[in-house]
Amino acid sequence: MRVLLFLFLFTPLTLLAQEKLPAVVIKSIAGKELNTAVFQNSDVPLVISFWATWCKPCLQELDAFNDLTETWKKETPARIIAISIDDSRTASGIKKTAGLHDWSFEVFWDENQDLKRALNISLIPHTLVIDRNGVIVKRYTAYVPGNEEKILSLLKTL
Amino acid sequence: MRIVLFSFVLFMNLAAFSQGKGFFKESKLNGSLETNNQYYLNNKRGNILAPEKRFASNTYLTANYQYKGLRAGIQFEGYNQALQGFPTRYEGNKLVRRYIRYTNKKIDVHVGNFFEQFGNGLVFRAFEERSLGLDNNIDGLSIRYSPFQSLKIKAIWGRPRTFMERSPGEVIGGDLEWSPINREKDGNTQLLQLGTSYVKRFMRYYGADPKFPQQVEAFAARFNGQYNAFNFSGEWVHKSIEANFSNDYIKKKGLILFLKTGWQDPTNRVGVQLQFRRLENADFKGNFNSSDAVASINYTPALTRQHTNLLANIYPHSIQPIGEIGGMADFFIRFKKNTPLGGKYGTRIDINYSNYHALDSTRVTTGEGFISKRIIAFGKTKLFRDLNLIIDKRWTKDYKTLLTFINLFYNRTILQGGPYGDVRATLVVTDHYIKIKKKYQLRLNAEHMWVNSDERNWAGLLTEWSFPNGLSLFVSDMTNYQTYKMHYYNVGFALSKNKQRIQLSAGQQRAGLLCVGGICRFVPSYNGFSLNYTLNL
Repeated sequence: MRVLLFLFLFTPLTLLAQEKLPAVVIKSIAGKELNTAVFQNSDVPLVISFWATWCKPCLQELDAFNDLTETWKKETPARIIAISIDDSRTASGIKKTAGLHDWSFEVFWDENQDLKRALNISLIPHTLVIDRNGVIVKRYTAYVPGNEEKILSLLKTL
Repeated sequence: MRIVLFSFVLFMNLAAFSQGKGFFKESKLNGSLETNNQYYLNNKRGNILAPEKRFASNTYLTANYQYKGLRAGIQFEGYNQALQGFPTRYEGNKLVRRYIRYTNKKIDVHVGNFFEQFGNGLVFRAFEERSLGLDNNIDGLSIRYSPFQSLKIKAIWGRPRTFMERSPGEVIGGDLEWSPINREKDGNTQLLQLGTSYVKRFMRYYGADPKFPQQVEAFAARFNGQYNAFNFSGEWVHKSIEANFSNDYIKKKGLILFLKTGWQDPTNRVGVQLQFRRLENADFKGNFNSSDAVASINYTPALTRQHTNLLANIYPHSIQPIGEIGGMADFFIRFKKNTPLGGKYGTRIDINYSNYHALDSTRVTTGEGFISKRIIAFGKTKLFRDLNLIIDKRWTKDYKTLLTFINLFYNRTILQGGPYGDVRATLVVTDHYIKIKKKYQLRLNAEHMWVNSDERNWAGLLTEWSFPNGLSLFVSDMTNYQTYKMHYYNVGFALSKNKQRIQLSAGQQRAGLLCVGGICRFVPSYNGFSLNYTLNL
C-alpha cells in the first residue's frame, strides 16, 4: 500500500518538475527583509548558492565563484547570490565570513530556512541556476571542484 | 488524515497529467526524498555492541505544490528503527506535515504545520534540523500581516510537534516589528528595527500541586540596527514561572539578555563582532514533562564557534539553560594580494574567542531553586572557554592551506554530568587543498589534540579525492592513542549528479559535524555501514 502511494506521489513530481523560485521572505545581512519574488522575473540569469559559515565546501565553492567574477562579467550578465542558512548560533559570522573572503556578490540570510525548505534542500552547498524566466534549470547538490566552469558554460546558453 | 493525503496526491496527479493546459499551466510541483540507512556491527575491542535490530533507517519524503500565491505540501517520515543517536520515539511511518498557505504582498496565512521565528528565536522558534532529529513544527494557524512596509505583524496558534505526535501543550503568540529607519544610499546602510513578542504556553497539569504553573507567558523586546559599518542588536526576554523536567520542576521565572555589536571596514580588511548572552531558567518547553530538546519552543544555541574539524567536536560546549553567562568575540584581518604579509594571493586571519560561566547565584530552599541578584556578574564556576586562530593562505593557484590552532577549557563535570573533572585541550590542525589539472582535488587534513585528562591525546587524519564527474573518495581515522587506542575510522565514497547524491561509508564513526564528499552534515555515531541518498525533483 505504502509503495503504491509512494509511486503515485512521485509520478506527478517527475512529470511536472518544472520549478520556479518560490516567493519567500529572506533578509539582508543587516536584517532588512526582502521577498524572493524580486528574483522571479530577473532580466538576467541567476546563480543562487545556499551556504553556511561552518560549511567548508560551501566556502570553497563561493571562493571559486569569486575568483571567476571578472571572467564571468565578460561572458555573461548573470548575477550571483549567496544565501546563508546559518541560524542564530552562527549568524554573527555571516558578515564576517563574507568580509574575510571579500566576496564581490550579494549575500542574503534565510534566517529560519524558509526558502531552503520551500526548495526541498536537505544538504548544503546547494546551487541553483535560474534562467531569465525564473525557471530553475539546474541544481547542484554538493560542491565538486570544476562545477564553476560547468555553471559558466550553462549560463552562456541562457 | 488519509482523506487529506489522498486528495493531495490525486490532485497532483491531475496536475501532472494535464500539464500545460489551462489552470494547470501555472501549477508548479517540487519534491524531495532523503534516506539515511545504517547497518550496525559489534566491536568487541571497544565493547560496542550493535543493537538487536541491526538495520536502522530514517526516510523523509516531501512534496510541495504551488499555484500563484497558493502553496500546499506534505512530508512523510519513516523510521524503520531510528538511527542510533536519534531519540527512539521517532518510530513508524507517518504524515508529519501537511499545510496550505496563501501569500500576497500584505498577508501570509498558513494553515496546518508551519515553522516560524520571533526575533532571534529566544522566545519562540519552530524549526527543523533533520540531521539532529529536531522538528518542533506547530500544527495550527500562522498569520503574517504587513499593512505597510515598515510594520510586520505575526500571530501563531497551535500545538508543537513532539517526535511523531503533538505536544499536549498549546502555544499562542504574536510578534510586532517596526522599522522607523531604513535607508540605503551609495553603499551606506542606516537601519533601525524595534520589535516585541509575546508567547503563551498552556498545558494541563494533573498532579497534586495546586500551584503548579500550567500557563507560562514570555515577553520579549528587541532592537536591531546598522549605521554604516557599525551594527548593533539586542533582545531581552522575561518569562513567567516555569517548572519542567529539565529544571527539576523548580518554580522560577526566566530571563534572557542578549547583546551584539560589531564593526567592519567597508573594504573588508578588518572586522570585529562581539556577543554577550545571559540565560536564567531559559528553556521554554512546549511539554513540561519532556527533557528532550525537541520539546523546546524557543532556541538558545551555544554561542561558540561551530567546529568543522574531526577532533575539536569531541569537546563541544553544551549550553546550560538553567544558568549561564558569557559571550563570543570574533575578529578578522585580511592582508591584500601583493603585500608583504598577503603574498601573491592574500592571507586571511580569523580569531574567535568564547567564554562561559555559571551564574553568580545562591541556592535557596524555596521552590525557586536559586537566586541570582546581579544581572551582569560571572559566577565562579567556569563552564567553557575556546580560543581559535585560523590562518588561511593560498600559496599557488593550485595549493591552499588552512592552519588552525585551538585552545579550550571544558568543564566535563557539568557539561557531561558526572564526577569527571576539567578538560584542557590544545589542538593543531593543518588542512591542505591541492588542485590537479584544475578539475581534480586532493584534500589532506591532519590534526593533533593534546588533552590533560579524560582519554588524553588524540590524532586524526582525513584524505579526500574529488573527481570532475562528481565522485569523491575519502578515508579518515582518529585515535585516542594514549589510552584506549581505539580507531574511529571511516572509508567511503560519495557521488553527486545534479539533483541526486549518494554516499556509502563504512567504519566506526563518532557523532559530529562531518565535511566530506562535497557537503557538510551532522552525523550520528555508528559502527558498521552507512548509506545516504538524496533526490530533488
